[in-house]
Amino acid sequence: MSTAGITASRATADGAPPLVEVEDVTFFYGESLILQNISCSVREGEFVSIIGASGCGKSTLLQILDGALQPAAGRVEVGGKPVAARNAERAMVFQSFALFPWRTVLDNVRLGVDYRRRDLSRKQRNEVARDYLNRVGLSKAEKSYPYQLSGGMQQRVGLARAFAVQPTLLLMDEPFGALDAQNAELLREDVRALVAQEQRSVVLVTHNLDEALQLSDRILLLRAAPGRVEDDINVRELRDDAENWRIDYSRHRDRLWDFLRQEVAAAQGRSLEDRS
Amino acid sequence: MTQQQQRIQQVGRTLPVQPQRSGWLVRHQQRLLPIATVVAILAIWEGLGRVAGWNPLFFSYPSQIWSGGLELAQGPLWSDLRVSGTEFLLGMVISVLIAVPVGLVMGTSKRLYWAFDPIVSALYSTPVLVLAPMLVIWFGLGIASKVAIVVILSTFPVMINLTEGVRNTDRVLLRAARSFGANRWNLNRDVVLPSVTPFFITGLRLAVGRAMIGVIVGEYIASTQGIGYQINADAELFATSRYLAGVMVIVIFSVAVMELLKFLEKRMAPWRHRELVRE
Repeated sequence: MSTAGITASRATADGAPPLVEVEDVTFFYGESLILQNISCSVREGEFVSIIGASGCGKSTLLQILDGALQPAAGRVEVGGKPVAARNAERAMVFQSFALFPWRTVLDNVRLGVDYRRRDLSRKQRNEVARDYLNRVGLSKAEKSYPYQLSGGMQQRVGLARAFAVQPTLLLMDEPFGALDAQNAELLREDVRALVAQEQRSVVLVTHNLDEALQLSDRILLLRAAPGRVEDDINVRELRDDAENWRIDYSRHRDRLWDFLRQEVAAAQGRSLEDRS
Repeated sequence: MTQQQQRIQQVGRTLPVQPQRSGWLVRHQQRLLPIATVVAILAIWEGLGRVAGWNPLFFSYPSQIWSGGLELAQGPLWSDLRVSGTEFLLGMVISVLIAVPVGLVMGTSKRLYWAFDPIVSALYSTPVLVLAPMLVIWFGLGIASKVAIVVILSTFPVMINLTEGVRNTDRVLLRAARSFGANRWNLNRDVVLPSVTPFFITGLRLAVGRAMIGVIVGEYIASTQGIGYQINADAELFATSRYLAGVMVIVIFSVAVMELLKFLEKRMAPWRHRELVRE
């Protein structure tokens, strides 16, 4: 059912303009050039991962998509409109969960609903939050506080909070990075199911190659210093060819790693230069 | 039954089936130990006092202090408490009224912080109690001068903690709130204020200690009423038991206020308490 949903939404999106359009975006942090002439796009219903060594500007790009940072030059549009700080179509999942420690789990999930759905009564907003809390399997924890939950459960709350605003674009900044391997695996399954169920478009920043290969339709490779798009790999096409995918998987992984290895080594070299 | 099965049964029997529950004394030791310490000290003190028979002008012991306390309670204690309490409360309220807006604004504006932080820090670390005689000259022997002393002592810890609280607001939480559509007012109400609350209570706790000193020392220096005045008077009369009874009243009051604030902190910022315990 879920795969059919994605294919259908992709089919309708093929002719339409992309959901996210980034054109020639340049970003400086202070004096240093972080992103140089980045261009990329995300179609509706697409799952795009951004991979690169640390410091390549992938999180910066995500924050630009979220409207939290303004590029020095270039055009960023989501849904045909320039990104503004408080547009309603996006939702973010943070590496550090970013849950409010003084709010109960339910109140945390309701955060975005409270701000964006002022047309709903408090009761209705609670219903929405409960619904999404239920989907991540945390109904019983609604009255708990984040500090009473494990890391995996906290990120589940983060996911529910993001999905609860029913965003057209879901931004995820290394959402599994702070979790242990098994919890990360579990959560990836949840994300996959939720994204399929709700047919969301996703931009995922990650440093985990397998995660990118398994979850995404496309992978953007970002080169560092300054950040620019090195390659745009259509994983979905490869994966649709199910028989060869199993055989080719490690070859693709090796190819990604070859690129990343150089990048990581280069980053280390740069940090040594900075110190001397 | 095979040999192996027999062996398993034997081993099974020797294993403790239920976790051992420790005794009542062991389970409550965290509460009992401080009480035991106080009781022991009082007992030794009392024993020493009775056996040694030191001059009562210079030394007193618990039972004597207790009767001194009764004497006070039948005499000026309640009106003194009312005066000192008024000075304390009024001073604290004025301090908070000044410190909250100024502290919040200084935490929000980088420029104001840069401009005023050195002065505030200097005033906080100076023992401004040296200004007390001047305040007495300005405001007289009555309640007003003590209130003024409390204000100059207690405003700064609250102010500084509020400023730091605002400046320490978790940036990721601000980013998250903004990302989910919070406007400026939402950010202040839902992120800044809750994260400042524990800092505010810490500030209050520091301020309360300083306010107590302000009241007592102020009354010591120049006054006609109040606990500090009474203590000073008794000390000069060598009424040592009454004098120490007055000190005990202050100790009890301080501990009560501190415990109240600790309780408030636990109630209003439970996550902070738990985080500390967890680490």
